[in-house]
Amino acid sequence: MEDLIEKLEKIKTPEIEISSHKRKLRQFLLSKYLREKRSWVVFNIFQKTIPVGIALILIFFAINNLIYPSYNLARAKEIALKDSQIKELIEKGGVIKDVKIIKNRAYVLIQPAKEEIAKMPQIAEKEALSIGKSEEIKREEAPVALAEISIKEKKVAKIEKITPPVISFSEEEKEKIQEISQKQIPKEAEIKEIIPPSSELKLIKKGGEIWVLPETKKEAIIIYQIDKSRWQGKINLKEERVEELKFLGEFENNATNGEKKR
Amino acid sequence: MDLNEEKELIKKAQKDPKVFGELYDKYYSQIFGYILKRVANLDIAQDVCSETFLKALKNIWKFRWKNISLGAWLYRIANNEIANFFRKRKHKLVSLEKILEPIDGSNPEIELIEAEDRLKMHRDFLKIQEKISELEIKYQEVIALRFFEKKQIKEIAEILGKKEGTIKSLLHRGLERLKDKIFETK
Repeated sequence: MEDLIEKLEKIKTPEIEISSHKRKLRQFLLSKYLREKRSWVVFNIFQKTIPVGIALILIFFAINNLIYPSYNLARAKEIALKDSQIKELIEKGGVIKDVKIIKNRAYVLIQPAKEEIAKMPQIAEKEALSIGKSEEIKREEAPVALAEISIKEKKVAKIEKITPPVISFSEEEKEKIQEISQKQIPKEAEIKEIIPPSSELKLIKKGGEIWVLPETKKEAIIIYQIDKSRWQGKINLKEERVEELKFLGEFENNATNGEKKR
Repeated sequence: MDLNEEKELIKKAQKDPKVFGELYDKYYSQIFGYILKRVANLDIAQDVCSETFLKALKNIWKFRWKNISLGAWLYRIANNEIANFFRKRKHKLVSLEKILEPIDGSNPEIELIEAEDRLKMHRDFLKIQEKISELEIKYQEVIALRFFEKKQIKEIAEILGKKEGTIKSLLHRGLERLKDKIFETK
C-alpha cells in the first residue's frame, strides 16, 4: 500500500491546456450569458410568484368559504331578528334553528327549541293519550317557519309557515322497536302505540334549492299498559335500549277516547 | 482570494458577464486539467469541461453562499458531469465548432494533435489512470482529487460534500481496490 501511495504521489500528471477550446468556450458562454440571465430572472419571478399566488388563492378561499359565509349568516340572522313576524314567532318559543345561503339569499329556519319539540305531542301520541282537537290546533300553530331573506336588500322577502311533519315508522321498524321494547319492559305489558318522536327540521342545500327536511329519527316513543297503568318509554334506536320511562296515568282497558280514570 | 472576496465576485458575476468571464479565466485550467486527469482523453475532456462550465453558467444565479468555495462548487459540477459520462459512456457534445469559428488564425486540429502527443508521453500516468477508471466512481473521485489534484482531505470533503472521516475511509478502500487491480494485471 505504501508503495502505491508513494507512486501516486510522485506520478507526473499531464498539465495540458487547449487554448483554442478555452477561447471558444469563453466566447460561447458569454454569448449565452444574457439569455441564461433572462431565463433565470423569469424563473425567479415565477418562483417568487408561486407562494404569493398560493397565498392569494388561500386568502380568497378563506374569504369566500369561511369569512364571507359567516359574515352573511350573521347578517341574515340580524335581518331576520328585526322582522316583526319573525319576532312574533320567537316570542312564541321559536328559535333560529338553521340558516343557509344561496347566492345573495339566506334561508332561515325557525322552529321551537329542541326541548319544546320533545314536549310537542304528535297525532298518534295524542290519540293514545286522548288529547283533544284544541291541542291539534296548537300543534299547527307551532312557531315553525322558513324565511327567505334578501341580504342585498336587507329585508325578509318571504315567510312560509311550516306544519311540522308527522313521521311514521315502517312495519319493519315497528317490529324492531317491539323487539327492543319486549326485552326491557315487563312481559305482561301491552304495547298500545309506537310513536315516532316529534322531529326537528333542518335545511339542506340541493342543486341551488333549499329543502326543509326532518332530522334522521333515532328515537321512538312507546306507550304501553300494564293492567290499568299506562306508561311511556323512550327507545334509543341506535343503542337499542329503552330509556326514560314515564307514568302517564291510569286508564280503563281499551280506552281510546279520553276515558281516563283520573 | 479569500471567501469574502470570492463571494463579492460571484455577486458581480451574477450581474456582469465580464466578471463571469474573469471567473472563467481563473478556474478554466484547473477544471479542465482535473477532467482530463479523470477521463484521460482530450476530446472527452473538452466536452465534459464545456458541459461543466455551461452548468455553472446556468446555475450561477442560484449559487448561495454555504461556505463552499466557487472552486469546490466547480469541482462538484465537474464530478457530476464526469460521473454522467462514465454512466452513459457516451458524451453529448456541446458543439462549439458548429457555433463558433476560430477567433484567431490558430488551427484547433493541430493544437489538439500536439496536445494528444503530449498526453501520450505521460505513460505512467495513463497506465495507472486506466486502472483507476475501472474503480467505482466514488473511489475514482477521492484518489484523483487526493493524488492528481493534491487536495487535502478537508478540501476533498468540501468538494464531495462528505465528512472527512468518510473521505479517509473511501480513500483507504479505494487504494486497496486499486492495489488489487494492479496486482491482478501483474
